[in-house]
Amino acid sequence: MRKGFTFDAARCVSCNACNAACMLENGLQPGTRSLFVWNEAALPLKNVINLSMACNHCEEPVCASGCPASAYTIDSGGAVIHHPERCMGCGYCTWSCPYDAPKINPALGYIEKCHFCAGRATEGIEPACVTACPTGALKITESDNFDHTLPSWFPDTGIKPSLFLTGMDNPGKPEIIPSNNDPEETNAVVAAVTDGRYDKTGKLKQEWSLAVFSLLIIAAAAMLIVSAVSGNNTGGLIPFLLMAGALAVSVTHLGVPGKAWRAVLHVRSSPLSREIVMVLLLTLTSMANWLWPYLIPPPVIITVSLLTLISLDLVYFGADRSVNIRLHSGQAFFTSIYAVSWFIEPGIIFILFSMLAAISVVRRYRSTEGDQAERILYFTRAMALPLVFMLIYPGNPATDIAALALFIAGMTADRLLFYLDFNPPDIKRSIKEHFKTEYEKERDKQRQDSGLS
Amino acid sequence: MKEFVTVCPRNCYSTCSFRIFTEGGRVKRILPFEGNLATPEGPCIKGLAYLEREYSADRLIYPLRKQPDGSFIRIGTDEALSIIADRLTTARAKHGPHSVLFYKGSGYSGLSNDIAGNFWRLFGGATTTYGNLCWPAGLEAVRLTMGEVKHNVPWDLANASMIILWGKNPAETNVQEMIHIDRAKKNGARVVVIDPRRTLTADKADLLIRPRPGTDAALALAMARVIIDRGLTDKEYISRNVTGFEKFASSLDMTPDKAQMITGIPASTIIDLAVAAAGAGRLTVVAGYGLQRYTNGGQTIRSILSIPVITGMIGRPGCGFNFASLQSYIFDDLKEPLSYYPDPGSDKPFRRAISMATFGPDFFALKDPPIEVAWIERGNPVTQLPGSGEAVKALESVPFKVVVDQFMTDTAAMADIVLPAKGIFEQADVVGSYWNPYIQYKPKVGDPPGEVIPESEIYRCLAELIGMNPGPGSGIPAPDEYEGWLIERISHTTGFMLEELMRGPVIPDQNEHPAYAGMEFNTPSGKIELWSDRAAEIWGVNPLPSYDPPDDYGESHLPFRLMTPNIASRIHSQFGNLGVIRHVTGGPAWEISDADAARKGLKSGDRIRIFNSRGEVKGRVTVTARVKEGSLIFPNGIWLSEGGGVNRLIEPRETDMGHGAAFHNTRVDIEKITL
Repeated sequence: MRKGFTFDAARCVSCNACNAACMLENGLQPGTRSLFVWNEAALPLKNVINLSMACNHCEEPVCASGCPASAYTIDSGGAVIHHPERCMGCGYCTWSCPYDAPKINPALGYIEKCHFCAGRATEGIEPACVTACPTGALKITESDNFDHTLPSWFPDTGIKPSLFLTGMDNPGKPEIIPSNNDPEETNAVVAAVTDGRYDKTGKLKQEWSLAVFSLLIIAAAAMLIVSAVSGNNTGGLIPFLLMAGALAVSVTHLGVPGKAWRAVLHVRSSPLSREIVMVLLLTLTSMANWLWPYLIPPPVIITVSLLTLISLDLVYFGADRSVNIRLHSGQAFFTSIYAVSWFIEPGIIFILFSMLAAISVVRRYRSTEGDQAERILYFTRAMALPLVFMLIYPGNPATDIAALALFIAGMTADRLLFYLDFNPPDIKRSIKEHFKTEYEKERDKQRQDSGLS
Repeated sequence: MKEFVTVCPRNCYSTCSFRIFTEGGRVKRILPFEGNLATPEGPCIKGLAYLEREYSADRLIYPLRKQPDGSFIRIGTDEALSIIADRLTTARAKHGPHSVLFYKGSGYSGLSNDIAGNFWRLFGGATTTYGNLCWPAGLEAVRLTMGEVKHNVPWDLANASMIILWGKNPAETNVQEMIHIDRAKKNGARVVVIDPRRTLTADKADLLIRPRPGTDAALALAMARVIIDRGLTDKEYISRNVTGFEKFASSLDMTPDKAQMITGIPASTIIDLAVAAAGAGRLTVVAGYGLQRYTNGGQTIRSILSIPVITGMIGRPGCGFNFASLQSYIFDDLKEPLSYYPDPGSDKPFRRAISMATFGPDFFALKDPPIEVAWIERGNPVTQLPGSGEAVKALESVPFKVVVDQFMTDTAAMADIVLPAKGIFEQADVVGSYWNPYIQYKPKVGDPPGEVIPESEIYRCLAELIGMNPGPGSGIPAPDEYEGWLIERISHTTGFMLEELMRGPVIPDQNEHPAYAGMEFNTPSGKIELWSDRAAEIWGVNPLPSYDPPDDYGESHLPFRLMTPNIASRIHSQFGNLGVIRHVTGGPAWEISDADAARKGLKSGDRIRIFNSRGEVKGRVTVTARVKEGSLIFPNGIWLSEGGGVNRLIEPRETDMGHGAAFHNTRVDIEKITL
């Protein structure tokens, strides 16, 4: 039997007692349990649905399987327990969890999340959020099978959340008289509620260390591959310096840098652990290649480089399974190989990769609707593709250098765009996007109806 | 851990029971108490917050004295009390006892509050306030009509086939009522909410009717007219239990069409609703308090009450009119609303009273003697009084002010001496409820922190210092006499034993359920009075329920009706200062409709200035479809330090009956500002 929450939306009145109880009982930061509201501004065309959620203690918890530091354990009742003392604060679980359950505590550096009030459990007392709920909307249930139909806006990534949702078919949509269903009139609210674009510039600032980390590795791998393919091992020190720099930068990303060594503890199932192992291996390879040139056979150097690049991408593919990311020209493997193609013959490979990048860029034309930072990056990436060809055509050294600089700028921009486009499933975004779609559908229907009548 | 059953003593419908677990006299855990059938699940967010509130670092635990520069310093309890005793004695000697103002709010309920009254009586009297800011118009309306103010037990709602929540938002103000409403719904009941706002309660309703604020009486009377015209009344019930029906029926000129003009609700809706209500079989009308905080509040409640009366819904299970139920107030000699009259009974010679609703102007009209000392407890008049600008000026003019409170509220900040108030777990008490039928015991589970002494002990020490001979007979008991006093206080009432009370909530034997089942009405006629001579005599209103347009206080030209409802995260001005509450609820915002926002060029988060002839405040807007066009919503009780002070915009004016405060007639305008 697994333990899970049962939540009755018909009973929930969004009072936040559950959230307060969680804070008071566990001393955890606000938001460890959260209230999500579908149609927060109560636009009359659609219903209002409340959802209080902490951790769903999934049967296949990606937070735990993906944790590089092995900071998670699963107890006999299926509770997914995070152990702060084992956490290095990399935040990978915050990416992979679609329910926003694990959260970094910025003051402490490590993750905090619901543990079913472990202290209470030993006394046989239900979690604080459950005993606090004044309307009885939140209960604990034991079941072997939490399989049931979840609403379409509920992110389901196949990880089997231990959660029963009931009362979702409850209208939450009273007939309103006099109605103010005039679709034009509610535009101001719709804009206010649904125009919740991500603060992408802010996101990039948060992820800058990861972007730098990956750019350094992409560059190092490209250089190692080019030298291995060409059989010319000059500049052997630079890849090693790049790799060492990448490692240093990666540590700054951690909430608890002193526990960085834990990153390799979960190679069995964590894409992040595998990445770190590969990065260390590539660092050693680059060091050996610098100290003892020609010692390592070129096929080995190429293989380690390629595997490292793949491991980099798998970290992101593990969290965001969207096609958008898989076909992104900013991914590490593609970017690095694209860079290699600049330096090796035949030139057709470079042209081929440029075309692939162009296709990816065209696919992502929506980025032009983003904020200023995103637009600048997108146009840099987009314009670099044709301009590079125009600059290499004259064939003089000055334009060649300009072309190379532009080529690198375009690739860097693309890598940064990759971080902006990387959006692992997230309940808040799911709700917002789904609500907006549904609302617009309903509004168009009403417009059509009123036009007909 | 030791376990106790206790009760929340705040001014709230629910009056929840809950279990507390203590370690070393400190409450560590709060769990539900299923034995209270009205509140079987958890307490609300505020009840949980006691874990923080009672032990907060912000709690005042030492007496404070104001310095000339306005700051406070800690002083000893003896020093504080002797300064106060000195000021009280001097004021009384020079100007008589009426030169002392005793102001009490509703911040703490319990029999121990009687000790304050006993002290001031022994002191020789005082100037006090009469009336009440909350609910007296409705109480008086119900009392005039049915003789007593009571209703069925809360869990009886589950038996209703139709529930009309008229201006009540239990999802925020009486959250456990939603349990019983949900049960009724699962039993097939239809739930209708009548409210200008789309409240969180309305989200759970089948139908939401949004009349213009202050026009509910017109809607109700038109419904009554439809019910009468279509012969849907319970004629036998009326002939046996109701007086004045013929006059009511023959003079009722509120047609659905006329009501449509007034309320903005289509006549067809009014007719449908009236027919549905009359045919529901088991109709419970639950009226809130906001809709009676108007100049026509009492008449509005009388008008709404006429619907369950003429359909024979009073005195039966699953039916009734739920405004308040004072059946657990069995220890009071004089129940609300009579106790809100300016000179209730025996108090006449001892007190000089000014109206709470018109505190500012009334205060400045006081001449002989002037107020020399003000004593304020259980209340925060600076945030709560209408016309708070004048009220603050009035308090500023008092030479010496004592405030008893747990926190440095806006009012405490004005004091010369602040005395720390007891916490809810620090003295035993007995608490009634105006919603559930229980009398509840609140045990003492630990000693107060710092130099906190319960108010009973503050009064006893002061009485001794002033030479008033406190003691068991005086009604001002010493700490070791307190429990005996409490037992004595409740022993003259029948219906339960103290030991039983200490085990959990008790419904006294005299509780009538269904309320009025005996069809005995404590009115002059002994019947339900649709026609009330006394309504006309006492209050000068129409003897029949009537619709009188809400006064605009001379500012009809201002576009917004200001409403200051209660919200889930606070009881008036209490609880909002706590970290846990602030973390989960965010800061207060001015809610505006999307249409008005578009007109004023506002989007959520913009800063606005809100103003009328009485003053201005500033704040941030939230644009929401929950608010009706033409109204502006800001929660009541927000401290000045939180961006409150909204009451300075509100005219100090009494309701049509009961000496309530007509908060919601206020009109305002807004403009966008950049700073």
